Amino acid sequence: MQGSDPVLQVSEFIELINQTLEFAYPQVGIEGEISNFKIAQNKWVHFDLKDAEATINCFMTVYQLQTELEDGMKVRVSASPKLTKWGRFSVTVKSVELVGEGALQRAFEILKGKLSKEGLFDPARKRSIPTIPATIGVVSSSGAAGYKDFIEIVAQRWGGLNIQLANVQVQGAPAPLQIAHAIEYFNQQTPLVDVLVIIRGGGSLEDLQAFNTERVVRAIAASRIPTVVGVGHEVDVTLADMVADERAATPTDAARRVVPDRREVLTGLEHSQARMVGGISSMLQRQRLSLNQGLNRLEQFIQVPKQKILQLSGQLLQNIEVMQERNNSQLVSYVRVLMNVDPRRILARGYAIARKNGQVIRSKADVKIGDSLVIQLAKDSINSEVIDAG
Amino acid sequence: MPVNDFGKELKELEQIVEWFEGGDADLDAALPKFERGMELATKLKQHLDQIENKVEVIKKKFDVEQNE
Repeated sequence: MQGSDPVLQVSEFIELINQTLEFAYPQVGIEGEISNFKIAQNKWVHFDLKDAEATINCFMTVYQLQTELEDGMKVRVSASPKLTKWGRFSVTVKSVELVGEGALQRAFEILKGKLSKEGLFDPARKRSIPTIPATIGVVSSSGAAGYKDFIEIVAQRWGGLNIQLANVQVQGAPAPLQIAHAIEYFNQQTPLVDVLVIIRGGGSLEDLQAFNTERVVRAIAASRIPTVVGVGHEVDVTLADMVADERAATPTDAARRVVPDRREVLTGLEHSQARMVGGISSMLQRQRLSLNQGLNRLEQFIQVPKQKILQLSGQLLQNIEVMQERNNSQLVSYVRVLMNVDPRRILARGYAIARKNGQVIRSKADVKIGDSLVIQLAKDSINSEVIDAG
Repeated sequence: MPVNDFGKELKELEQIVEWFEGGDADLDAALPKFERGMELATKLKQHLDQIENKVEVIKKKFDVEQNE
């Protein structure tokens, strides 16, 4: 042993190594296959990462673990190397990403099974989204094609909306946390938006991984605001889709589900107006019909006395005529009688009327000698004097 | 008109239309309903002329609690 060598205590040595490691490799990505995966006290995660030739011990907290893991899965960890106080070499993992379709598919199945058992995908949990929202919260990336499609289709269909975008990363390690935080943010605002739309365009299973993480799925499940998830292409099914109140096949489909088409609504409104006009017209028609029926009945009611009056007045007229005729013939006979007794006709037959001072003389006793008498004849009269009244 | 009023008023209009097709309605009750329905339809149609949507990007950053 050379006296010039630095002498360190064990813990100082470990500290020095760790400082060196941290300086050289503050963070390193390591890819390998998981084995001996276990969780201790629901808090600490231990596993080994291996390839065909080597194995390394890994450690992380349950909190940091955002994906389901099991032995045999291929992963890429982001980690920093560390020497423990027991002198064992280990890497402290900050995040784990699944590598390859196999691992992703497996993690998907495990998480799906677990959340399904909790009832998170129950159809009974699903709420209906408002027919026509006023405000829409969008969780997406402003640069994503899916987001642009969504905004474009919404604008084609409906106007006057207030859309709020929570701009988040929709893929990569920070994505799950950002998406979950954005959902939580919208749920903390007053007033709440009417509907929450979570969208991302198509991609590989790895690209869509954020939407298959427990963090995101639970955030969607916990949302007080009704949710619509439109992630990937039609064939892609993510757990976020499954837990959403309304599952849209694509961002474009999400737009169609969230707002109605103004042309359809316009047609509907015109149809409504026509139906009301039709309703009130047939109502008027019915009213007119029953009014006519009423009038008819009233007329019938009047018809009977009217007929009677006509008949009676006819009879009356007839009676009057008969009476007049009868009167006429009576008059004729009266005239005849009167004509028979006309004194002029008697005078014409040679009779005469003697009058004293205008008084008709009927007896010798009515006169005395010397009285002037007028003897009326048929044609004229004679003034005379009484010479004998014996 | 806020859009959620649109939904409410559309619902009211639908109810009026259904009422008209319900059958045994009388004219006295129908006239004010008809008037209201027509007024709603006109108002809703006018709203459809609105073209623009307002898009607002929330300023908050969502990765602040990265180390949770």
